[in-house]
Amino acid sequence: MWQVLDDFDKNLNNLDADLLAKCENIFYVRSFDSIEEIASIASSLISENVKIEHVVSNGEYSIYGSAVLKSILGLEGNAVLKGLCYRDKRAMKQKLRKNQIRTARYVSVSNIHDIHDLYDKALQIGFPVVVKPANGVGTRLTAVLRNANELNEFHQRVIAEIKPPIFSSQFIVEEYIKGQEFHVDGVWAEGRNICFSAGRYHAPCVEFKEKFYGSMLLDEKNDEHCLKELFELNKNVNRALGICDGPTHLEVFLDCNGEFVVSEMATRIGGGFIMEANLEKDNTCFRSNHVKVLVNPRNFSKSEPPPSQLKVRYFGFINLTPKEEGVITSIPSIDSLKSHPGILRFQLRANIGDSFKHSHGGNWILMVVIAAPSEEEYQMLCKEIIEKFIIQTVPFISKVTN
Amino acid sequence: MNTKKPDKKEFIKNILFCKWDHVFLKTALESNHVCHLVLDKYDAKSHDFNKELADKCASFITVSSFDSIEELSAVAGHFISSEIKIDFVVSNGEYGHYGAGLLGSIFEVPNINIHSVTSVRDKILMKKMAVDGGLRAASYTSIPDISDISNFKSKLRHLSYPLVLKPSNGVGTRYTYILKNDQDLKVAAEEISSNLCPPLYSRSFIIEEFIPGEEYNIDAVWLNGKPVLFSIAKYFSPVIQYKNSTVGLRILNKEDHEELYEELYSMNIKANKIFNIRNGLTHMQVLKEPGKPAVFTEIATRHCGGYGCEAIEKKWGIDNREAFIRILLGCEKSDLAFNETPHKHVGYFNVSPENPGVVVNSPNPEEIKKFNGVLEVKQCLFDGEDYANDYGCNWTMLVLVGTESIDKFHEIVNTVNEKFKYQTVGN
Repeated sequence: MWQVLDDFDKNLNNLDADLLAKCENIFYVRSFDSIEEIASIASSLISENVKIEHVVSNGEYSIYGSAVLKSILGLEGNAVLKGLCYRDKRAMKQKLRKNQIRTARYVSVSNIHDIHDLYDKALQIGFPVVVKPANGVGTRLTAVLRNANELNEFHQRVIAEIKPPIFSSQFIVEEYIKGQEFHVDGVWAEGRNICFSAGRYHAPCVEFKEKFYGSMLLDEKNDEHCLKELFELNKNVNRALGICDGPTHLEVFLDCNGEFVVSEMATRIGGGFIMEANLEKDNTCFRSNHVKVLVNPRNFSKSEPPPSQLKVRYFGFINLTPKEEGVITSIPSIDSLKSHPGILRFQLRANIGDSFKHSHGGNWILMVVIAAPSEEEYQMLCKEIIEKFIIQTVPFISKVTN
Repeated sequence: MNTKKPDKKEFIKNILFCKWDHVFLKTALESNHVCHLVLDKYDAKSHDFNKELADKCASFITVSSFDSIEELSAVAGHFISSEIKIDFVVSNGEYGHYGAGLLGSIFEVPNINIHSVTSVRDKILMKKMAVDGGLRAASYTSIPDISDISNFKSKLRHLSYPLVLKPSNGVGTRYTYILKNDQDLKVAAEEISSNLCPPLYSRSFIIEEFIPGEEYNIDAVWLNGKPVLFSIAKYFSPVIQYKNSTVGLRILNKEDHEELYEELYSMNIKANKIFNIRNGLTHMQVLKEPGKPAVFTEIATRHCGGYGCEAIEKKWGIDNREAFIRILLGCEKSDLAFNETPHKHVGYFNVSPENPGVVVNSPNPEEIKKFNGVLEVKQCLFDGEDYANDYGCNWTMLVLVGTESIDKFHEIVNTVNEKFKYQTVGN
């Protein structure tokens, strides 16, 4: 095993030194976005006659970097073109539409700094529209815009806030799909499904400011039909994008007519606490399955989770965040979280004194896995937890200038 | 100017140019092909940039850096989603090369890809391939991270001082040091670690034995493994010694240097085979002591820098950039008109400030042009701009010279250098 870490990873306080010590070598790069840094790693491996067989990317930010690494190392055919279709929302949508998979109508914006072009493109699609970075992650710099005024305001915000980890000024304008949003997660080996689950977001991700980010996993019994449809859709999307192996995380809307519309596909493990909810539900570990199947794809058999004997059927997660932006002044106590019967596990990623900004949905603060016997009880539990576990802030002190 | 014959292929090609070069662009536009331009922030502000020419391109996209995978992938995403099929990706210079390679791989063009670019950009991989392929090259060792020098010692065991330390992805002697002992190495590593910044991104370095001798540039354009143009130039002194001498070179005449042409042509052919180069531009560098075989330093799949292309045009009658684009677009060697040159000795040199600082008074290029034998002058550093004497190819005032005799050639170099000085203040 060889490990590549960027500056972000390097500064994480949960790096396991013992585990890292077991690697043959650790390469450090400042950013996974640097071709030169990634090429240097490939060059070093080739020069040392190391034959890498697989490159595994953890998360969205290293997908492009690992594609470049694969490409230089001669793995997976045209890895950079594949990487593009898994990351660039325009290239992805184009491929899906060519394969008769329904997506939102879209148009490319080659330079977000040009507001006239953005406005023309929005008119071309028709308000309301969704505008987001072509290579965005987790609703960062993403908004539903209903009119020219909102477009103006959004444009000003983007110009002020666009910075790494969003590097490109290329954006996409899409038709707004009203409806419920789902995530569909799988691990695949040579086209076979190894594990699969789907969940319904409590509210569409783009509404993260108004609603708490999170999702409820679909139940095999009560949501059987929906799960079946989503499984078929996942397979079709895989086929269209040429995905046979590894993890997938698909996001889908169910529109007002009851039709599924693909939002986007990622070739990574689902983020947030989705995987932890799956672990609590039936002990399925997508991450370890991904690695096991990578090493030994043919001899890995899909283990059907045993039918749940528990009365609890509904599992999901919520990301609890402060209601207002500012400096965090209080967070729920660990004991109170541990002692709540509806919370199965939690992860606190913020401390008192930290700054909080409602910048994107994937701003993980306090994630909890919850479970309840029925959907109604799940919804009530959600409500109770949101009301009970409050994270308080005080407003940022604004600088006064003469 | 050469008489231009129409390109053989009648269908229109979409060519994506990475970074600014007016000769590339002009040649392709004149051939009525569709040009697309991607520039970084540096190009857009450069003195060479010509908006009128850029406006003739079908699209013009700016990225902050050619090192950003996401930005370049997004450029590709835009073309793909706009149903524009790119036929060729052309890179101008070293800094756009990785980016062009990435775009070439995404678009699956025949002339460039990320794998081939890595082998001619990363000096560690390049040296390994060269040595494995039987080229004479300096012994070397790789330093994966210059900021971690703890394990250097053991890696240096098979090498002896003096050594040369340079970035594995460096350009033009930037961050390059001659080391005489362990202390030099320690100082250099510390200096690099605290100063390393774009356009160098990687902390991967290479240490190689110092090769004495004279430095040569070998520039060529290839078509199906055969040279369309082949030119050898000799630096006044190796560029690494830029602090003590004028940086410049003179193209060598074939008739005066037959053996050298033969030796370096064979080496170039061998290098092409190792690096799987059959078409396009190459820029190879070697070191050679009199009476000894040449030592391969590096090869790049790009044109030469400085005033090298202009010197080639004055010497051989065609600019290697123009020849490359015309060949890429379907011309044969016979389609290119090589004019007789009136100058036997052609070369260029750089007039640079003696001290770093802000330029307060720069030489007047029009005055330099008045010298008999000076063919062209290009000012790259102007009053009010900062100058750091930190690498050899930091072009400031390039002077192109063409003369009948070698003595006259050197007389011009010496006189211009004596008479025309940049004045700087501060440091």
